[in-house]
Amino acid sequence: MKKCILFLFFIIASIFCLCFICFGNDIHKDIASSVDGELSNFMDSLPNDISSLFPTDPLNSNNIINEKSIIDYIISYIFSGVDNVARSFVSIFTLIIVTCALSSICNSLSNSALNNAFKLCSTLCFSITIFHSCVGLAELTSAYIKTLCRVMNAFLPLMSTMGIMSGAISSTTTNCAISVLAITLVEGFLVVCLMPLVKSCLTISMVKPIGGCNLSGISKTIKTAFTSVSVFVMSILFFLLSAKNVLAQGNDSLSIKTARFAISSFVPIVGASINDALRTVSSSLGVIKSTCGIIAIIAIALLMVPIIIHLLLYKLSFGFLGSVCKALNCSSEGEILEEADSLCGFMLVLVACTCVMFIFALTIFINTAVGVA
Amino acid sequence: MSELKLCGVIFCALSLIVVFKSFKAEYSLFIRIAMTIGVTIATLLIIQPVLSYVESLTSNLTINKYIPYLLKALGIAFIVQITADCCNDVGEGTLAERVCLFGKIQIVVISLPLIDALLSLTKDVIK
Amino acid sequence: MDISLIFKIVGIGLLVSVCCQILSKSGRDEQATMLSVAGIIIVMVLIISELEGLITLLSNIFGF
Repeated sequence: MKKCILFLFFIIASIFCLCFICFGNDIHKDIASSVDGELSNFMDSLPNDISSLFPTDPLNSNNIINEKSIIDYIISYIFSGVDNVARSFVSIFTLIIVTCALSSICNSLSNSALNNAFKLCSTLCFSITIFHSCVGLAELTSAYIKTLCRVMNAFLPLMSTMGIMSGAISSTTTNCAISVLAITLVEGFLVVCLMPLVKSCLTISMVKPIGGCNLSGISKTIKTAFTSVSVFVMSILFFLLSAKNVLAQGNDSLSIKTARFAISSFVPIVGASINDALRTVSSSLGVIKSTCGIIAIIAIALLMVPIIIHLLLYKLSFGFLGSVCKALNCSSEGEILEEADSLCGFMLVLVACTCVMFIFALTIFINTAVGVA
Repeated sequence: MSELKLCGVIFCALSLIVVFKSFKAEYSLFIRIAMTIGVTIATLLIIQPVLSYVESLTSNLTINKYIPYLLKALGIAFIVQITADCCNDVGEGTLAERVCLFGKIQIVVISLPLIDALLSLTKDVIK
Repeated sequence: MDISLIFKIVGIGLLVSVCCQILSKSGRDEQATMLSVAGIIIVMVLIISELEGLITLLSNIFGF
């Protein structure tokens, strides 16, 4: 009897699958058209200045939304910065080769003073190119951090409204005050200090080949000072955020992990603390996934991955070009490239910190919203 | 001009210079100057296609505006070095040093637009 | 530019030195001096034409 029922169930299931495969296209089209209708309703209900910021391309121009177009769009979006990186890599590489070839011709002249004068000219050309690339990268990073902070600022009114609706007025006030303090600190400190840091470190590294005196100790001191102050600021920040978490939600495991992460996470060489960071971030992502679904995780990844790939590619190219310079016996240009390499690493750390901060802010916002419901 | 032909011509010229040094020293100077000019022209004729290839390579890149400065500096260094060596050969060390100083200052003056561009990039730090 | 320039200079130098010797031996020292100066000027004119070729090539290649 049991076998009969099982067999029957199997046949019905296979017929159902066959029907789905045969008529799946039509169902797919229905879903797609209804999604399309919903999407256009959603777009119409938005105010004009926000709907103008949406990309008009692949999702709206095709009538059928299928997985392939979305995946293509995602891949092209993630690797959109690769063109720029490739172009600047090729430029700097060509400049290195040309400079080294002309320097070797000039080295054969017996008068060393003329040799030094030519080296001055070539180092100036080089410095300007590297400076342009690095300052452009720093501006991109600070614009990115500013935008993330603006988004976090936008959470606050809605979060405070929902907190007041749920009735916990004093904890909502504490929440919002601490959130405003946290976001202002991140924006004011990270963004204000990033550009002067990049420019001063690069300028100091250029002094040695042009002027002859070695000021690299000063740039090391500047970077160490910046790291210590940012560790201090971020640990205070996360202590406050975790305290707020304890008051509002009682979500102990997240707050303990947050505090531990805050203290050990902002060291530029994130050795052993990366495990803690990953655990905390994964628990926050678990909260986000359970409320908003996997599409929110994909959206957060799309927010963060392109700029990290951009910065990583620049860091790799600067490192490679620095070693090429050293191999071709242009050690002064190699030092400038190594400085640019470490500054890219710095910017990567800052972007990673802001992204983690964003994930935490999003988690706290979702916890407040869930608390209302 | 192949390198074998060049070396043969230089050896001939050397022997003639040595011959003339004993009774008409000024003609040895002229032979020396003529030989130097000849070898320099031969070198430049070899370099010319290479440099034009480099310029065509960099024509699409952003570094295109810096290559003329490099080439000018190299040219100044080249010609000044040749002049200074000729002066040293005749025994005019003072003149050689002055010409070298002139060449150095000229290269720095040529790089002034580059220094100006670099300072304009970094001036925000000073602000 | 080829080896003919060198041989021209050598030829003029030999000619001038031989004539100067003859003139100074026969007592006409001023004419010997003037002949040597004339020889130097002719050789300089030859060299300057070569120098012009060098300077044109330099300004073409290095962009002066």
